[in-house]
Amino acid sequence: MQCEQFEQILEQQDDGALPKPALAHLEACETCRALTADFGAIHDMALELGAEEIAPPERVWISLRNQLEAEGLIHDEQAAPRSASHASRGWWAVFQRPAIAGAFLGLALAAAATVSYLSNSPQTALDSQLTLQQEASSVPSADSVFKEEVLTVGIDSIPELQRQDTAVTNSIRRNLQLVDNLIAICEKSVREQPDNQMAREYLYGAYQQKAELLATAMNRSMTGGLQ
Amino acid sequence: MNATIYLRAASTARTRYLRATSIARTRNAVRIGALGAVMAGFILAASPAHADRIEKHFPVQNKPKITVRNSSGRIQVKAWTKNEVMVAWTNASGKTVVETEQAGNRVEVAARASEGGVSADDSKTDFEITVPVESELNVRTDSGNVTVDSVHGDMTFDTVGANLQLSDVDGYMVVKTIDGSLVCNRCSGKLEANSISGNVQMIEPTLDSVRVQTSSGNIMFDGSFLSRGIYIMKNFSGTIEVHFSSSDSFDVNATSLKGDVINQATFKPDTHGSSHPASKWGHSLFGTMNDGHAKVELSSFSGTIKILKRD
Amino acid sequence: MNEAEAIRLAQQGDAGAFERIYRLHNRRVYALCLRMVGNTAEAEDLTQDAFLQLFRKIGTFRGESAFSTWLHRLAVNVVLMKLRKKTLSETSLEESTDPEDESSGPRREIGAPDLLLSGSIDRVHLERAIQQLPPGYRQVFLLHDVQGFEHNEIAGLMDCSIGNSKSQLHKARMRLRELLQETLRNQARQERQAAKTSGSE
Repeated sequence: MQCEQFEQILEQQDDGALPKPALAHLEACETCRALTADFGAIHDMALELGAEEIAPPERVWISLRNQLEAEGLIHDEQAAPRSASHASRGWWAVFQRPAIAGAFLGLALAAAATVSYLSNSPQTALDSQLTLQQEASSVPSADSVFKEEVLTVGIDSIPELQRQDTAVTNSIRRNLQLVDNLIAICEKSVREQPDNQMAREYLYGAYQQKAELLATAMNRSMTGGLQ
Repeated sequence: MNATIYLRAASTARTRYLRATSIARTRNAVRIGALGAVMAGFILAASPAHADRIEKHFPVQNKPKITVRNSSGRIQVKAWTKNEVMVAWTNASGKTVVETEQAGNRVEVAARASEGGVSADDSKTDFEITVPVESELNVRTDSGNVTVDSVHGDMTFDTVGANLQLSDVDGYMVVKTIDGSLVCNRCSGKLEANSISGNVQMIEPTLDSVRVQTSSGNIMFDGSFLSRGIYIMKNFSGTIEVHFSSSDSFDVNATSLKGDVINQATFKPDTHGSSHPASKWGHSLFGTMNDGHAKVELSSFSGTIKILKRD
Repeated sequence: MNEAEAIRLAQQGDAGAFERIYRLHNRRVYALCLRMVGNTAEAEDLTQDAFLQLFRKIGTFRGESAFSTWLHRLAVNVVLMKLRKKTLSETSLEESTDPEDESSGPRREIGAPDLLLSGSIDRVHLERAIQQLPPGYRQVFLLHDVQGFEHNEIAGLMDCSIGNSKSQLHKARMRLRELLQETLRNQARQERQAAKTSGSE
């Protein structure tokens, strides 16, 4: 057996026992013995690396927790309520309105699906779509939810906020109008230039901003602006 | 609400290479003292005679977490060297209750109406909070101004219309606002800011990660691009303005779909990528300045992007 | 709270349980991400993304495999998807991430005997050498030798054949061997020069 053949066997062996002809070559060939010994040293050191753990900065948890709260995935059982309406406070309150919750989720799914579909790598789009299909199997079609809910939802759909005539309400109202205008401009742009990926990304960004703004408005209306 | 105060850095010196820790500390101490004196005077002058100032102290260990919830009013956060959090507030109307709670190294401060139907004016509560230099902050408020000075630690801010001013802070700053503006003076660390109509200005920053997005607000960056830093600034309309020096090293990707890209830099073709196909849509600019150690992405739907040389 | 209890509570949305799971596994996930992407900023983002995915899907975990294995696989998927999405302008300083690319395979030196690595290399040397590998080699090496994935698992994760995975691993090890031997040669040279200098004084 030549060294090149030994190397091919080593490559295909996947760390299992070497066949007898390879073992025989190993006994006779100092170069291949050195190669095998070095691979062993690298592998052993790599195992030590694998066992090593490095702590990320605390901000990773802070940011993660904020995101989990924003998505309504977690709730804090230990927080002492300060009044009877505590249960309906916070971002979680958004999901007590099925229409808004469905719209928000459908919006996020629609945005993610579209951005994934338009990405350069077909495999990436496929992976993302498969993941989204699994996650979306229990919610209504994103497109139908979105058209029925988010596009037509405005500050009028939040009666609690309607009753308050504060600077906060006016700000939310003004910015909702602004975002609705952006959505209209982006939709027009996408209709006129269907191949324009950047316009699509801005459109879905605007949808996402509207959903977040509605969630903020809902949150503020539940708390009356105070906690 | 849409105040557009533009502050321009006056110094021509490169603070990144010249700022010594002792100089910064001395300057901060003077600034804290001066700010404290001015703010104390302002609070005393602005508060009606019958508004009581209440003060509470909380002993803490290293890196406490302070949470503040307010509706309207000023929130000022300063740093000191004591292992203590001091919270002071005034509410002129007396119709707001401030609750404070400490659990170990966490201090929570929340203002709430003492009765229903309280107007925005009556709910106005001004806070003055002093924390250890190394602290984490979580601030939520709707209107009024928020200033944070010389605190090092991770911070999150959630406002509707409150304007935010962060000076000499260092950490991971996450800002979410609707139409409040954000001004960062000499901030370090990482910044994520999301606004709908508020403006964002970063003056003399030493940030290694910037992700700023607004819809109609203006974005201004006048500072250093750190090696391996990532700077992503995006808006729908309005202006995105970045300033650079001839010694800066960055790759740039600037695109405005319906607006202009104004450039004063002389870029080489991007050395870190294959050729960028000319975009059929809008105005684009790609290139490398010096060795392209940082990455800058500027994007606008209909606004103007300006890449301007610092004098 | 043990892990099983934390998983059960996390599936009901308990914040304390989420934090417990995060605290149990964050170090390993972050180390994995950091080694695969090579910079702290991206590793932090990927760690957050991995846990976010985990917590979004935790309701589907039925205990068919060890939780840590499930999380591990998820984290690797997150990193690989991110690496696939990277634009050319970000990665063109490095060689292709395509495992099929064999154009940069290491040459087998013939001639002078190789320096033996065993007992001479440490983790710092290896970490530095790993960072110098082309991305495709690095990913396969990290997944197989560092993280302990089998070739059939790597083939599934990286969308290549098992043969390719083995080939890339072999080339990675060969390249690492070259890099580490060069490091040792440089060290030996410096020691000789230092000895010569101190001897002549």
